Amino acid sequence: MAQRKSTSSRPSAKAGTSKTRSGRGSTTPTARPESKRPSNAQRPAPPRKPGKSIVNQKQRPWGLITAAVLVVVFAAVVVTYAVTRTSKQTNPYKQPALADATKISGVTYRVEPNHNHVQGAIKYDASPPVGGNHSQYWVDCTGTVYPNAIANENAVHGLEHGAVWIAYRPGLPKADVDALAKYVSGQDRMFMSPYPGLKSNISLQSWGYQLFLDSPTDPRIQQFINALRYNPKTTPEYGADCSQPTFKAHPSTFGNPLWAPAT
Amino acid sequence: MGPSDITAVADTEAPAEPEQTPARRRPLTVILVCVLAVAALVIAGTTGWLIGSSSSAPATVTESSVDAGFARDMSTHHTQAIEMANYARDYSSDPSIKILARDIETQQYFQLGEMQGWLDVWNLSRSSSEPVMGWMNGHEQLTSDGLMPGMATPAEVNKLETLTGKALDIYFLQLMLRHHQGGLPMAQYAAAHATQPYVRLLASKMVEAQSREIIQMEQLLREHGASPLPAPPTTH
Repeated sequence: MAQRKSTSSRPSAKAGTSKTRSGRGSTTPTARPESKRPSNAQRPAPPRKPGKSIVNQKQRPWGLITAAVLVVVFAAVVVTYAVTRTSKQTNPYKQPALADATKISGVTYRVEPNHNHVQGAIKYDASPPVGGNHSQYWVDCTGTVYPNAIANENAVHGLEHGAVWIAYRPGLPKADVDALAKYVSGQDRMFMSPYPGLKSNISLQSWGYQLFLDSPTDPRIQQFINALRYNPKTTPEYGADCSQPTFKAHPSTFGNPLWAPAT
Repeated sequence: MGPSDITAVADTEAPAEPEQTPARRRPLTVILVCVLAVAALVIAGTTGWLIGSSSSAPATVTESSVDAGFARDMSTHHTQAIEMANYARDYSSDPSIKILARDIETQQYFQLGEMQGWLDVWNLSRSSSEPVMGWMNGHEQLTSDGLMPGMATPAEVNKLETLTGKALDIYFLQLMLRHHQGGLPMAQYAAAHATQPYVRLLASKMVEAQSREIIQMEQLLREHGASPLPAPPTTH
Protein backbone atom coordinates (compact mmCIF):
# COMPACT_ATOMS: atom_id res chain seq x y z
CA MET A 1 0.00 0.00 0.00
CA ALA A 2 2.46 2.57 1.14
CA GLN A 3 4.90 1.70 -1.59
CA ARG A 4 2.36 2.07 -4.33
CA LYS A 5 1.27 5.42 -3.11
CA SER A 6 4.74 6.84 -2.84
CA THR A 7 5.81 5.64 -6.26
CA SER A 8 2.70 6.87 -7.96
CA SER A 9 2.89 10.18 -6.22
CA ARG A 10 6.37 11.05 -7.28
CA PRO A 11 5.76 11.63 -10.96
CA SER A 12 2.81 13.89 -10.29
CA ALA A 13 4.73 15.92 -7.79
CA LYS A 14 7.73 16.29 -10.07
CA ALA A 15 5.72 17.00 -13.12
CA GLY A 16 3.67 19.81 -11.75
CA THR A 17 5.52 21.82 -9.13
CA SER A 18 3.43 24.80 -10.04
CA LYS A 19 0.28 22.81 -9.57
CA THR A 20 1.23 21.93 -6.06
CA ARG A 21 -1.49 23.93 -4.36
CA SER A 22 -4.35 22.47 -6.22
CA GLY A 23 -2.87 19.00 -6.59
CA ARG A 24 -1.73 18.83 -3.03
CA GLY A 25 -4.92 17.81 -1.43
CA SER A 26 -6.17 15.45 -4.08
CA THR A 27 -3.47 12.87 -3.62
CA THR A 28 -2.08 12.88 -0.16
CA PRO A 29 1.23 11.15 -0.79
CA THR A 30 2.36 14.07 -2.97
CA ALA A 31 3.01 15.87 0.25
CA ARG A 32 6.21 14.02 0.94
CA PRO A 33 8.23 14.74 -2.14
CA GLU A 34 7.10 18.34 -2.14
CA SER A 35 8.19 19.01 1.35
CA LYS A 36 11.66 17.94 0.42
CA ARG A 37 12.15 20.87 -1.85
CA PRO A 38 11.22 23.97 -0.02
CA SER A 39 14.43 25.60 -1.29
CA ASN A 40 13.31 25.34 -4.92
CA ALA A 41 10.03 27.05 -4.37
CA GLN A 42 10.35 29.29 -1.38
CA ARG A 43 6.95 30.86 -1.44
CA PRO A 44 4.83 27.82 -2.02
CA ALA A 45 6.59 26.06 0.80
CA PRO A 46 5.03 27.71 3.89
CA PRO A 47 1.39 27.28 2.88
CA ARG A 48 2.15 23.76 1.83
CA LYS A 49 2.98 22.58 5.27
CA PRO A 50 -0.29 23.30 7.01
CA GLY A 51 -2.23 21.66 4.22
CA LYS A 52 -0.07 18.64 4.33
CA SER A 53 -0.19 18.36 8.10
CA ILE A 54 -3.93 18.54 8.25
CA VAL A 55 -4.17 15.85 5.69
CA ASN A 56 -1.88 13.82 7.83
CA GLN A 57 -3.92 14.54 10.89
CA LYS A 58 -6.87 12.97 9.23
CA GLN A 59 -4.68 10.09 8.21
CA ARG A 60 -3.09 9.31 11.50
CA PRO A 61 -1.46 5.89 11.42
CA TRP A 62 -4.28 4.25 13.29
CA GLY A 63 -2.98 0.79 12.52
CA LEU A 64 0.31 1.67 14.08
CA ILE A 65 -1.34 3.33 17.05
CA THR A 66 -3.55 0.32 17.67
CA ALA A 67 -0.61 -2.01 17.35
CA ALA A 68 1.44 0.09 19.75
CA VAL A 69 -1.34 0.20 22.33
CA LEU A 70 -1.99 -3.52 22.07
CA VAL A 71 1.66 -4.38 22.33
CA VAL A 72 2.17 -2.07 25.30
CA VAL A 73 -0.85 -3.57 27.07
CA PHE A 74 0.41 -7.04 26.30
CA ALA A 75 3.85 -6.13 27.61
CA ALA A 76 2.28 -4.81 30.82
CA VAL A 77 0.36 -8.05 31.27
CA VAL A 78 3.46 -10.14 30.69
CA VAL A 79 5.51 -8.09 33.15
CA THR A 80 2.75 -8.17 35.79
CA TYR A 81 2.44 -11.91 35.41
CA ALA A 82 6.19 -12.34 35.75
CA VAL A 83 6.37 -10.13 38.83
CA THR A 84 3.48 -11.83 40.65
CA ARG A 85 4.82 -15.23 39.69
CA THR A 86 8.27 -14.60 41.04
CA SER A 87 7.07 -12.92 44.19
CA LYS A 88 5.12 -16.09 44.83
CA GLN A 89 8.12 -18.25 44.09
CA THR A 90 10.72 -16.46 46.10
CA ASN A 91 8.99 -16.24 49.44
CA PRO A 92 8.19 -19.70 50.75
CA TYR A 93 7.56 -18.26 54.23
CA LYS A 94 4.61 -16.18 53.08
CA GLN A 95 2.04 -18.44 51.53
CA PRO A 96 -0.98 -16.74 50.01
CA ALA A 97 -4.38 -17.75 51.36
CA LEU A 98 -5.61 -20.97 49.81
CA ALA A 99 -7.92 -20.14 46.92
CA ASP A 100 -9.87 -23.36 47.52
CA ALA A 101 -10.75 -22.07 50.97
CA THR A 102 -11.27 -18.36 50.36
CA LYS A 103 -13.55 -18.98 47.40
CA ILE A 104 -16.07 -20.51 49.81
CA SER A 105 -18.56 -17.77 50.60
CA GLY A 106 -17.98 -16.26 54.04
CA VAL A 107 -14.55 -17.78 54.73
CA THR A 108 -12.11 -15.34 56.30
CA TYR A 109 -8.35 -15.67 56.44
CA ARG A 110 -5.91 -14.03 58.81
CA VAL A 111 -2.17 -14.50 59.10
CA GLU A 112 -1.25 -15.99 62.48
CA PRO A 113 2.46 -15.41 62.94
CA ASN A 114 2.69 -16.53 66.59
CA HIS A 115 2.90 -20.16 67.55
CA ASN A 116 4.98 -20.41 70.68
CA HIS A 117 4.11 -22.66 73.58
CA VAL A 118 2.86 -20.43 76.36
CA GLN A 119 1.58 -21.53 79.75
CA GLY A 120 -1.66 -20.18 81.18
CA ALA A 121 -4.57 -18.32 79.63
CA ILE A 122 -3.95 -16.56 76.29
CA LYS A 123 -5.86 -13.68 74.74
CA TYR A 124 -6.78 -14.42 71.13
CA ASP A 125 -7.60 -12.16 68.19
CA ALA A 126 -10.65 -14.17 67.12
CA SER A 127 -13.45 -15.95 68.91
CA PRO A 128 -13.15 -18.87 68.50
CA PRO A 129 -9.41 -18.48 67.82
CA VAL A 130 -7.87 -19.56 64.51
CA GLY A 131 -4.22 -19.61 65.55
CA GLY A 132 -1.61 -18.02 67.77
CA ASN A 133 0.42 -19.04 70.80
CA HIS A 134 -0.90 -22.08 72.61
CA SER A 135 -0.37 -24.71 75.26
CA GLN A 136 2.28 -27.35 74.59
CA TYR A 137 -0.47 -29.93 75.22
CA TRP A 138 -2.63 -30.35 72.16
CA VAL A 139 -6.24 -31.37 71.99
CA ASP A 140 -6.96 -34.87 70.75
CA CYS A 141 -8.13 -34.25 67.20
CA THR A 142 -8.57 -37.75 65.84
CA GLY A 143 -12.25 -37.28 65.04
CA THR A 144 -13.08 -36.40 68.62
CA VAL A 145 -16.51 -35.09 69.68
CA TYR A 146 -16.24 -33.22 73.00
CA PRO A 147 -19.53 -32.93 74.88
CA ASN A 148 -18.34 -29.86 76.81
CA ALA A 149 -16.42 -26.72 75.90
CA ILE A 150 -12.63 -27.09 75.93
CA ALA A 151 -9.87 -24.51 76.42
CA ASN A 152 -8.82 -22.38 73.42
CA GLU A 153 -5.17 -22.86 74.34
CA ASN A 154 -5.39 -26.62 73.79
CA ALA A 155 -7.65 -26.36 70.75
CA VAL A 156 -5.30 -23.99 68.92
CA HIS A 157 -2.47 -26.54 69.20
CA GLY A 158 -4.77 -28.97 67.40
CA LEU A 159 -5.29 -26.40 64.64
CA GLU A 160 -1.50 -26.10 64.38
CA HIS A 161 -1.35 -29.84 63.68
CA GLY A 162 -3.73 -29.36 60.77
CA ALA A 163 -7.09 -30.09 62.40
CA VAL A 164 -10.46 -28.56 61.54
CA TRP A 165 -12.41 -27.53 64.62
CA ILE A 166 -16.21 -27.39 64.50
CA ALA A 167 -17.62 -25.21 67.28
CA TYR A 168 -21.31 -24.79 68.00
CA ARG A 169 -23.47 -22.64 70.21
CA PRO A 170 -24.40 -24.34 73.49
CA GLY A 171 -28.05 -25.33 73.44
CA LEU A 172 -28.12 -26.21 69.74
CA PRO A 173 -30.82 -28.90 69.20
CA LYS A 174 -29.50 -32.41 69.63
CA ALA A 175 -30.42 -33.33 66.07
CA ASP A 176 -28.17 -30.52 64.82
CA VAL A 177 -25.33 -31.54 67.10
CA ASP A 178 -25.65 -35.13 65.88
CA ALA A 179 -25.63 -33.91 62.28
CA LEU A 180 -22.41 -32.00 62.95
CA ALA A 181 -20.83 -34.98 64.69
CA LYS A 182 -21.18 -36.94 61.46
CA TYR A 183 -18.56 -34.66 59.87
CA VAL A 184 -16.20 -35.44 62.74
CA SER A 185 -16.54 -38.97 64.07
CA GLY A 186 -13.88 -41.30 62.76
CA GLN A 187 -12.13 -38.54 60.81
CA ASP A 188 -8.53 -37.79 61.74
CA ARG A 189 -7.71 -34.05 62.00
CA MET A 190 -11.27 -33.27 63.10
CA PHE A 191 -12.66 -32.27 66.48
CA MET A 192 -15.79 -30.58 67.71
CA SER A 193 -17.01 -28.86 70.85
CA PRO A 194 -19.63 -26.41 72.11
CA TYR A 195 -18.35 -22.84 72.40
CA PRO A 196 -19.84 -20.40 74.92
CA GLY A 197 -20.93 -17.08 73.43
CA LEU A 198 -20.53 -18.17 69.80
CA LYS A 199 -21.99 -15.47 67.54
CA SER A 200 -23.62 -17.95 65.15
CA ASN A 201 -24.98 -21.46 65.56
CA ILE A 202 -21.86 -23.02 64.10
CA SER A 203 -18.33 -21.98 63.31
CA LEU A 204 -15.49 -23.78 61.58
CA GLN A 205 -11.83 -23.14 62.30
CA SER A 206 -8.64 -24.20 60.63
CA TRP A 207 -5.25 -22.51 61.21
CA GLY A 208 -5.83 -19.01 59.78
CA TYR A 209 -9.32 -19.72 58.39
CA GLN A 210 -12.81 -19.31 59.80
CA LEU A 211 -16.40 -19.63 58.70
CA PHE A 212 -19.55 -18.76 60.63
CA LEU A 213 -22.84 -20.34 59.62
CA ASP A 214 -26.11 -21.53 61.09
CA SER A 215 -27.24 -24.78 59.54
CA PRO A 216 -25.56 -28.18 59.89
CA THR A 217 -26.79 -28.99 56.39
CA ASP A 218 -25.02 -25.98 54.86
CA PRO A 219 -22.90 -27.40 52.01
CA ARG A 220 -20.10 -25.00 52.92
CA ILE A 221 -19.25 -27.19 55.91
CA GLN A 222 -18.07 -30.04 53.72
CA GLN A 223 -16.40 -27.58 51.33
CA PHE A 224 -14.44 -26.08 54.22
CA ILE A 225 -13.38 -29.51 55.44
CA ASN A 226 -12.38 -30.60 51.94
CA ALA A 227 -10.25 -27.52 51.45
CA LEU A 228 -8.62 -27.35 54.87
CA ARG A 229 -8.47 -30.68 56.66
CA TYR A 230 -4.73 -31.23 57.31
CA ASN A 231 -4.21 -27.64 56.10
CA PRO A 232 -0.83 -28.47 54.53
CA LYS A 233 -0.13 -25.05 53.03
CA THR A 234 -0.83 -22.80 55.95
CA THR A 235 -0.24 -24.42 59.29
CA PRO A 236 3.34 -24.24 60.53
CA GLU A 237 3.30 -27.77 61.93
CA TYR A 238 1.43 -29.71 59.31
CA GLY A 239 1.62 -33.42 59.97
CA ALA A 240 2.35 -33.57 63.68
CA ASP A 241 0.22 -36.06 65.56
CA CYS A 242 -3.40 -35.45 66.49
CA SER A 243 -3.68 -38.24 69.01
CA GLN A 244 -3.63 -37.31 72.69
CA PRO A 245 -5.41 -40.12 74.53
CA THR A 246 -4.95 -38.53 77.93
CA PHE A 247 -6.62 -35.32 76.76
CA LYS A 248 -9.50 -37.24 75.22
CA ALA A 249 -10.08 -39.00 78.53
CA HIS A 250 -9.61 -35.86 80.64
CA PRO A 251 -10.17 -32.77 78.50
CA SER A 252 -9.58 -29.20 79.62
CA THR A 253 -12.53 -26.93 80.26
CA PHE A 254 -13.28 -23.54 78.70
CA GLY A 255 -11.01 -20.88 80.21
CA ASN A 256 -8.88 -23.48 82.01
CA PRO A 257 -6.15 -24.66 79.64
CA LEU A 258 -4.18 -27.77 80.46
CA TRP A 259 -0.39 -27.56 80.19
CA ALA A 260 0.12 -31.27 80.69
CA PRO A 261 -2.11 -34.31 81.23
CA ALA A 262 -4.51 -33.91 84.11
CA THR A 263 -3.88 -36.60 86.67
CA MET B 1 -14.16 8.23 -1.92
CA GLY B 2 -11.45 8.90 0.60
CA PRO B 3 -9.28 11.26 -1.40
CA SER B 4 -12.14 13.56 -2.33
CA ASP B 5 -13.16 13.96 1.32
CA ILE B 6 -9.63 14.78 2.24
CA THR B 7 -9.41 17.33 -0.49
CA ALA B 8 -12.40 19.12 0.82
CA VAL B 9 -11.09 19.20 4.30
CA ALA B 10 -7.66 20.25 3.21
CA ASP B 11 -8.93 23.08 1.04
CA THR B 12 -11.22 24.56 3.61
CA GLU B 13 -9.10 24.18 6.69
CA ALA B 14 -5.67 24.67 5.33
CA PRO B 15 -5.48 28.39 6.00
CA ALA B 16 -6.96 28.07 9.46
CA GLU B 17 -3.92 26.56 11.18
CA PRO B 18 -0.92 27.66 9.30
CA GLU B 19 2.01 26.87 11.57
CA GLN B 20 0.73 24.66 14.33
CA THR B 21 1.50 21.27 12.96
CA PRO B 22 4.60 21.21 10.90
CA ALA B 23 5.81 17.80 9.91
CA ARG B 24 3.86 15.96 12.57
CA ARG B 25 3.64 12.68 10.92
CA ARG B 26 7.21 11.70 11.26
CA PRO B 27 7.62 12.29 15.01
CA LEU B 28 4.39 10.43 15.74
CA THR B 29 5.40 7.52 13.57
CA VAL B 30 8.87 7.48 15.03
CA ILE B 31 7.49 7.53 18.57
CA LEU B 32 5.04 4.75 17.80
CA VAL B 33 7.70 2.64 16.21
CA CYS B 34 9.94 3.25 19.20
CA VAL B 35 7.13 2.28 21.59
CA LEU B 36 6.51 -0.86 19.59
CA ALA B 37 10.17 -1.72 19.60
CA VAL B 38 10.61 -1.12 23.32
CA ALA B 39 7.44 -3.04 24.17
CA ALA B 40 8.55 -5.89 21.95
CA LEU B 41 11.90 -5.94 23.71
CA VAL B 42 10.20 -5.96 27.11
CA ILE B 43 7.96 -8.84 26.06
CA ALA B 44 10.85 -10.77 24.59
CA GLY B 45 13.03 -10.18 27.62
CA THR B 46 10.35 -11.03 30.17
CA THR B 47 9.19 -14.08 28.27
CA GLY B 48 12.74 -15.33 27.91
CA TRP B 49 13.35 -14.78 31.59
CA LEU B 50 10.08 -16.51 32.50
CA ILE B 51 10.99 -19.48 30.37
CA GLY B 52 14.42 -19.53 31.96
CA SER B 53 13.03 -19.33 35.47
CA SER B 54 10.37 -21.94 34.82
CA SER B 55 12.96 -24.29 33.43
CA SER B 56 14.74 -23.82 36.74
CA ALA B 57 11.80 -25.70 38.26
CA PRO B 58 12.19 -28.75 36.03
CA ALA B 59 9.91 -31.74 36.05
CA THR B 60 12.87 -33.95 36.80
CA VAL B 61 14.93 -33.41 39.91
CA THR B 62 18.54 -34.32 39.37
CA GLU B 63 20.86 -36.36 41.53
CA SER B 64 22.98 -33.35 42.48
CA SER B 65 20.15 -30.84 43.00
CA VAL B 66 19.51 -28.95 46.22
CA ASP B 67 16.15 -30.73 46.35
CA ALA B 68 17.61 -34.22 46.29
CA GLY B 69 20.45 -33.35 48.65
CA PHE B 70 18.06 -31.76 51.10
CA ALA B 71 15.61 -34.68 50.93
CA ARG B 72 18.38 -37.20 51.60
CA ASP B 73 20.37 -35.35 54.21
CA MET B 74 17.38 -33.98 56.09
CA SER B 75 15.94 -37.50 56.15
CA THR B 76 19.09 -38.69 57.89
CA HIS B 77 18.98 -35.69 60.20
CA HIS B 78 15.29 -36.25 61.01
CA THR B 79 15.79 -39.95 61.63
CA GLN B 80 18.15 -39.25 64.51
CA ALA B 81 15.79 -36.65 66.01
CA ILE B 82 12.99 -39.20 65.84
CA GLU B 83 15.13 -41.80 67.60
CA MET B 84 16.06 -39.44 70.43
CA ALA B 85 12.49 -38.14 70.78
CA ASN B 86 11.19 -41.67 70.74
CA TYR B 87 13.38 -42.57 73.70
CA ALA B 88 12.49 -39.44 75.68
CA ARG B 89 8.78 -39.91 75.03
CA ASP B 90 8.92 -43.44 76.46
CA TYR B 91 11.39 -42.99 79.32
CA SER B 92 11.07 -39.43 80.61
CA SER B 93 8.85 -38.94 83.62
CA ASP B 94 8.34 -35.22 82.95
CA PRO B 95 5.05 -34.62 81.11
CA SER B 96 6.39 -31.50 79.36
CA ILE B 97 9.36 -33.45 77.96
CA LYS B 98 7.11 -36.31 76.88
CA ILE B 99 4.75 -33.93 75.08
CA LEU B 100 7.60 -32.03 73.42
CA ALA B 101 9.19 -35.31 72.37
CA ARG B 102 5.96 -36.53 70.77
CA ASP B 103 5.41 -33.20 69.06
CA ILE B 104 8.88 -33.37 67.49
CA GLU B 105 8.75 -37.07 66.77
CA THR B 106 5.40 -37.18 64.99
CA GLN B 107 6.01 -33.98 63.07
CA GLN B 108 9.39 -35.16 61.79
CA TYR B 109 8.07 -38.64 60.99
CA PHE B 110 5.46 -37.03 58.80
CA GLN B 111 8.05 -34.82 57.09
CA LEU B 112 10.34 -37.83 56.68
CA GLY B 113 7.55 -39.65 54.86
CA GLU B 114 7.04 -36.65 52.61
CA MET B 115 10.72 -36.46 51.71
CA GLN B 116 10.90 -40.20 51.03
CA GLY B 117 7.87 -39.83 48.78
CA TRP B 118 9.64 -37.15 46.76
CA LEU B 119 12.70 -39.33 46.23
CA ASP B 120 10.41 -42.12 44.99
CA VAL B 121 8.61 -39.82 42.60
CA TRP B 122 11.90 -38.36 41.40
CA ASN B 123 13.12 -41.89 40.79
CA LEU B 124 16.14 -41.26 42.99
CA SER B 125 17.51 -43.63 45.58
CA ARG B 126 17.72 -43.02 49.29
CA SER B 127 21.51 -43.28 49.20
CA SER B 128 23.78 -41.52 46.80
CA SER B 129 27.44 -40.94 46.00
CA GLU B 130 26.95 -37.20 46.20
CA PRO B 131 28.97 -35.74 49.09
CA VAL B 132 26.97 -35.30 52.28
CA MET B 133 25.93 -31.62 52.59
CA GLY B 134 27.42 -30.94 49.15
CA TRP B 135 24.09 -29.46 48.04
CA MET B 136 24.59 -26.58 50.46
CA ASN B 137 27.51 -25.38 48.43
CA GLY B 138 29.77 -24.71 51.40
CA HIS B 139 27.17 -22.85 53.44
CA GLU B 140 27.37 -25.41 56.20
CA GLN B 141 30.14 -27.86 57.00
CA LEU B 142 30.31 -31.35 58.40
CA THR B 143 31.51 -31.63 61.97
CA SER B 144 35.00 -32.90 62.74
CA ASP B 145 33.39 -36.31 63.30
CA GLY B 146 32.12 -36.22 59.72
CA LEU B 147 28.55 -35.74 60.89
CA MET B 148 25.96 -33.29 59.67
CA PRO B 149 25.70 -30.13 61.76
CA GLY B 150 23.88 -30.67 65.02
CA MET B 151 23.92 -34.44 64.82
CA ALA B 152 24.76 -36.37 67.97
CA THR B 153 27.59 -38.88 67.79
CA PRO B 154 26.69 -42.54 68.22
CA ALA B 155 28.30 -42.37 71.66
CA GLU B 156 26.08 -39.45 72.64
CA VAL B 157 22.95 -41.27 71.47
CA ASN B 158 24.03 -44.38 73.36
CA LYS B 159 24.59 -42.31 76.48
CA LEU B 160 21.14 -40.71 76.18
CA GLU B 161 19.58 -44.14 75.97
CA THR B 162 21.04 -45.15 79.33
CA LEU B 163 19.60 -42.16 81.21
CA THR B 164 16.40 -41.67 83.18
CA GLY B 165 14.85 -38.96 85.31
CA LYS B 166 16.12 -35.40 85.28
CA ALA B 167 19.45 -36.41 83.74
CA LEU B 168 17.58 -37.80 80.74
CA ASP B 169 15.43 -34.68 80.43
CA ILE B 170 18.41 -32.34 80.45
CA TYR B 171 20.55 -34.39 78.08
CA PHE B 172 17.61 -34.86 75.71
CA LEU B 173 16.99 -31.10 75.66
CA GLN B 174 20.69 -30.41 75.10
CA LEU B 175 21.06 -32.88 72.24
CA MET B 176 17.78 -31.92 70.60
CA LEU B 177 18.45 -28.20 70.89
CA ARG B 178 21.85 -28.59 69.21
CA HIS B 179 20.22 -30.88 66.63
CA HIS B 180 17.68 -28.19 65.74
CA GLN B 181 20.37 -25.50 65.66
CA GLY B 182 22.31 -27.55 63.10
CA GLY B 183 19.26 -28.47 61.05
CA LEU B 184 17.87 -24.95 60.85
CA PRO B 185 20.41 -23.60 58.30
CA MET B 186 19.86 -26.69 56.13
CA ALA B 187 16.14 -26.00 56.03
CA GLN B 188 16.75 -22.29 55.46
CA TYR B 189 19.06 -23.02 52.55
CA ALA B 190 16.53 -25.40 50.97
CA ALA B 191 13.69 -22.93 51.51
CA ALA B 192 15.68 -20.40 49.50
CA HIS B 193 17.38 -22.56 46.87
CA ALA B 194 15.38 -25.72 46.15
CA THR B 195 13.94 -25.84 42.62
CA GLN B 196 10.57 -27.33 43.53
CA PRO B 197 7.99 -25.12 45.27
CA TYR B 198 6.77 -27.94 47.52
CA VAL B 199 10.33 -28.56 48.70
CA ARG B 200 10.74 -24.87 49.53
CA LEU B 201 7.38 -24.95 51.33
CA LEU B 202 8.21 -27.92 53.54
CA ALA B 203 11.67 -26.50 54.27
CA SER B 204 10.10 -23.20 55.32
CA LYS B 205 7.74 -25.07 57.66
CA MET B 206 10.71 -26.81 59.25
CA VAL B 207 12.32 -23.43 59.81
CA GLU B 208 9.15 -22.05 61.39
CA ALA B 209 8.49 -25.04 63.62
CA GLN B 210 12.07 -25.70 64.69
CA SER B 211 12.87 -22.08 65.48
CA ARG B 212 9.89 -22.08 67.89
CA GLU B 213 11.00 -25.38 69.40
CA ILE B 214 14.48 -23.94 69.90
CA ILE B 215 12.94 -21.17 72.00
CA GLN B 216 10.95 -23.72 73.95
CA MET B 217 13.91 -26.01 74.61
CA GLU B 218 16.11 -23.12 75.74
CA GLN B 219 13.38 -22.18 78.19
CA LEU B 220 12.97 -25.76 79.43
CA LEU B 221 16.73 -26.03 79.92
CA ARG B 222 16.71 -22.88 82.06
CA GLU B 223 13.82 -24.32 84.07
CA HIS B 224 15.88 -27.47 84.59
CA GLY B 225 18.83 -25.36 85.74
CA ALA B 226 21.00 -26.49 82.82
CA SER B 227 22.82 -24.83 79.92
CA PRO B 228 22.82 -25.65 76.22
CA LEU B 229 25.72 -27.50 74.60
CA PRO B 230 27.90 -25.34 72.33
CA ALA B 231 25.92 -24.55 69.22
CA PRO B 232 27.17 -25.95 65.89
CA PRO B 233 29.43 -23.49 64.06
CA THR B 234 27.70 -21.47 61.39
CA THR B 235 29.31 -20.43 58.16
CA HIS B 236 26.72 -17.82 57.30
